[in-house]
Amino acid sequence: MIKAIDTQKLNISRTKAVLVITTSIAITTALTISYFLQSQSSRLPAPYRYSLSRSSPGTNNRRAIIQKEISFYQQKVRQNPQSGLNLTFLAQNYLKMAKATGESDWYLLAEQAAKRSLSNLPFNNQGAVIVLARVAQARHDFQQAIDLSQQVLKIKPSDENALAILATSNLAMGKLQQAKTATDKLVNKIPTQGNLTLQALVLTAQGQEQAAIDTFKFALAAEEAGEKGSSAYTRVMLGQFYYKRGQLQLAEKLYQESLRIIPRYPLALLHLAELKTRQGDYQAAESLYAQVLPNSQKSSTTYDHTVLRGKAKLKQLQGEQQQAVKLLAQAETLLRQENATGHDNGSFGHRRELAWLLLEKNNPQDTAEALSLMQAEIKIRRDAQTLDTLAWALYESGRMESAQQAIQEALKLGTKDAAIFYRAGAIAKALGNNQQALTYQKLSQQVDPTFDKQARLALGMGLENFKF
Amino acid sequence: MKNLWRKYWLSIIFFFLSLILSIGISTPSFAHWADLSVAEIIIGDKQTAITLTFPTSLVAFSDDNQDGQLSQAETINHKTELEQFLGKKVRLTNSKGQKGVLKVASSQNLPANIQTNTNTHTNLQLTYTWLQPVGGLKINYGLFAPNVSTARCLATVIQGERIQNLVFTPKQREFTLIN
Repeated sequence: MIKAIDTQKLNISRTKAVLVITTSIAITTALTISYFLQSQSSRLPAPYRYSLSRSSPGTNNRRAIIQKEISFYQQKVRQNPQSGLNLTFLAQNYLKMAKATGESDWYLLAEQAAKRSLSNLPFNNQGAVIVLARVAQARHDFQQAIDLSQQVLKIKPSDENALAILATSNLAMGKLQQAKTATDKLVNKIPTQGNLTLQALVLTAQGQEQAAIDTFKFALAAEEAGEKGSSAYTRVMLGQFYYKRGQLQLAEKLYQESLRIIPRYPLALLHLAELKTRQGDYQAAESLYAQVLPNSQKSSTTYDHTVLRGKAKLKQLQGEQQQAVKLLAQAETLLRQENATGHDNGSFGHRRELAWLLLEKNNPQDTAEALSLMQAEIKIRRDAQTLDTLAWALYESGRMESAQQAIQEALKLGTKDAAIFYRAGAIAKALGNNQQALTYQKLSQQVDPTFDKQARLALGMGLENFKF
Repeated sequence: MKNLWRKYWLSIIFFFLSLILSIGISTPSFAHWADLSVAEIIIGDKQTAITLTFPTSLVAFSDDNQDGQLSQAETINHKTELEQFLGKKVRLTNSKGQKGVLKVASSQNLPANIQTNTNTHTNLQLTYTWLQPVGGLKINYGLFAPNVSTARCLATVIQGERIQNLVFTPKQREFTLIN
């Protein structure tokens, strides 16, 4: 009897043990599969993934490394103040610091050192001229940047830096053919990741979508371990490409990958914040903006007004109008200060950004000022975005015929941008061309099928409530 | 006793309220190109040389042709005024409080073969000299546009092997360069 009870007990405990083991195996398997599936879905497709080492020895604190190089050349200059070349190297390192931190002071120091270098060594000192060109470009003085690059190209016809500046500045000015010529030369000479990315950007502006994607992929295939800056930059640009075509998930992954390569990379943070705003994840966007510009930040950076405008947009979208107005006022002050620095030819500053901000304010006085700013800006650059902003200012001023001319010129460049097509539709409708308006609306949807009211609100293009 | 507790709690609440308000109200402040200056300061035994790049509008009295930049000729013509003006704005004193004798010279500008049109800032060479080697050295920098709280000057200071970066602002004008 006792034996039978013992056997029964043993059987029960055996069954229990089997059950426990089976359940554990089932749970573990389920967890593994779910983790695998999740990791697969959150992983970037292979060509976009960064597979090189992210921690080359001694490359983690970029600021400290550049500071070390600066100190080295400062000592060299102190020992030999008349040496033009040492001053050029110093200027190049100041420029590196400016790019790494976005702080404007370093650009001014770079310019100062380059000028001193050229004063000591006026000839065969292309490095210093390139620094001046880069500083001009950073200040949006594109014509100056081109002129300086051409001075270098006269002496060194295939100078890589000069060609890159020529490409970037022409691209910014909407001179796409010149930009294409320069990037083709560059890539033929040396197909680095940076050069290929530049070529992809020109192809994007020309509306050559597939060629642009292929070139971006070539750029990623050409990446090198020590060039984390280029690796992160290419992914942000490719992310922006997909963002503009409504592929937000892929865009987000690319931005995240970029941040994995360079944590707190400002360009990636800004674009990711823009994406989060469009997705309505305002808290995430706010936190990303805070990372670009922490409250402790005292230096002027090239991202200041973008962050302030982005934050204002967030407040606006959350119905916190007072806060939005306050932030916009700060951004406006900054942009006005920068534009005031420009001189008679008005060749630098962020005039287009100021006009955009004023147009968003949507009142007659600001619209009039925005139009006048854009009429000046269009004299120095005619890229798709500038023409689109001009068209917006003309549209808001009731000058529909002129608005149509401007938007047509933007479309002729070939740039495929849902917002530009959308505005073209609104202008066509205002002129009574309903059929044409619908065609543009369809084109806008073709480029970005997710270009809805929220996307327009996030962009702040002034047509949030427009209906075809 | 009850009143004491109430006061205690009220003071805590006010403290946190003021803290929250100060966080909410304080906004970052930034300088921009037009308000920026930069300097390279090289400290020697009896002499300190500053290569200063600053907005030309601050010495508009010397910019005769109003082209936004001081030429060598303009610097020479207004040398005395510039030395007086800059001597007051950028003061260097040794440990005894003696000011260095200031000489202003045009810093080398761009050669004729390189043309740019960015005339917003001027480069000058400021040289401060003392009769004896300086034991201690203080700098007081006040070359800012009036009423521009965001103006700043980034200075890199080189003394022998030692290099440091300093940022002068209207609120932080003085630094000790040598103790």
